[in-house]
Amino acid sequence: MTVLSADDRVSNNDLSSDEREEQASFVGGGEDISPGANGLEAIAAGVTLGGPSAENAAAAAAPSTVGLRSAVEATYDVTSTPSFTAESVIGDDGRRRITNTDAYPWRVHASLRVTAKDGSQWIGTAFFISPRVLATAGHNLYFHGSVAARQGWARSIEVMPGRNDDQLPFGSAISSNFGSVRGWTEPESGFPDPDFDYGVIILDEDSALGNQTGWIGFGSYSDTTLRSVTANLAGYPGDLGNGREQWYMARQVDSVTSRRVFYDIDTFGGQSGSAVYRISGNSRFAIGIHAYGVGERPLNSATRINNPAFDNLLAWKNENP
Amino acid sequence: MKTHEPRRPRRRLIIACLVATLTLAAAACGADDGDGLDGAVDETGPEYSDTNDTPPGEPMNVLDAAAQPEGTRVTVTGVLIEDTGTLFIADALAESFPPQPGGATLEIEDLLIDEFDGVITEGPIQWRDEPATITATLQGGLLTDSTIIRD
Repeated sequence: MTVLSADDRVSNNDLSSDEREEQASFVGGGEDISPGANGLEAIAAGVTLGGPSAENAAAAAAPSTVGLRSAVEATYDVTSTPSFTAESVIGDDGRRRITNTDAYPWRVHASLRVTAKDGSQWIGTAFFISPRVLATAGHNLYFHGSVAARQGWARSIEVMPGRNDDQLPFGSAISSNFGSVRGWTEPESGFPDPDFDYGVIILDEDSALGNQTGWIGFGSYSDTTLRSVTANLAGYPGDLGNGREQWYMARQVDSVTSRRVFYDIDTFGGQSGSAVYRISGNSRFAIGIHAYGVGERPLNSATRINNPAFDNLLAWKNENP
Repeated sequence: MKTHEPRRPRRRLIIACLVATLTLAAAACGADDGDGLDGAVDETGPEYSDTNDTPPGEPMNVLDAAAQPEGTRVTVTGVLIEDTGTLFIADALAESFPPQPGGATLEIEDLLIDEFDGVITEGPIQWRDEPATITATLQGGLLTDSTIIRD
């Protein structure tokens, strides 16, 4: 008799149903940004926040110059900049904008435009772990929630690595091939379970954009190790650039559980699916996948890449070379 | 760790009010049965039955609230998100954009998100930037007869 586990992998194409590291790869040439000191990325140039930006407001309302509508515009016909008070910005906002998004490692992070089953569109983030596999949050792939027509696997996701406003340095690819785990799609409690909120987007063989961007590694680490590392997070938030700009911040990990990593890195909706990664030597290794803003705890959190998640990510990567 | 510094004094005040209210409630209960408990869950029946003017106990998360027997008055803390006119309280806010309810989630039948402060709107979805606490009755998988305890 087969015993089903919450860690069992599931796919939208399959509806019936000790510390380790997987290495990063810098491929595609171009600029490679060496890590900075203390586990942080070295940011030579960036934009710091000083309150609401007129530039950001203008960008939010501007039509795309390359015929690509922003997810927000496409979804809800936003004609004015929403009045944001970032729910997951803890204290002063420490995020910095990344503008050289065609350089490694920034280019491994992709802005997502998710089209749900009911046609609604959502912003998210994902990151390459191989030439055509991106890790992301499960809720970017499979919707729970109140609207029955939306529940289930997303219809399609447009992947835009290294997006910088309307510039798509590596183009984009649309996928309808996703994977997650049973713990996310069929939670025992009946409620979506944040502990299993992760999955992958698999690009077609002729759309292996990771061969141009490279990818970051991922690792399963002990609690002790995780508590000591600096967590780096880059993604595409909805409050700054409407999902069209990449923003970065880093902080030491605050705490961990067996399936979650908590930190006070500032985030906002749209950054779900971002890599939460450590820097070890010259390599980057994802330790979690950002998924939640503040809730019961005044901290933001990622789904931890523990051993089962590591095994699943590795399997998806190896099965889709 | 950085926190929402400007909001702390207000939160302290609200919590103080809540504690005072709970203390009074406990004293009242003590006069009745002498156990001094706030009686959040009583197997003999809901202690606060169909009234909504007495907090039944310490705030619990949504997952625990959802596990209570039908008809129980619960005090629950969570994040609020309204999707196409239906308000939910959830244990977490999933950070897609717009966000989604995360973790355990219950529909609140008789409140509107506009009754709370700090609401953010994006298309048909509205949410709040901080958790709220309400007291309500669990009925048919919904929260009803609701009162805002901490906004």
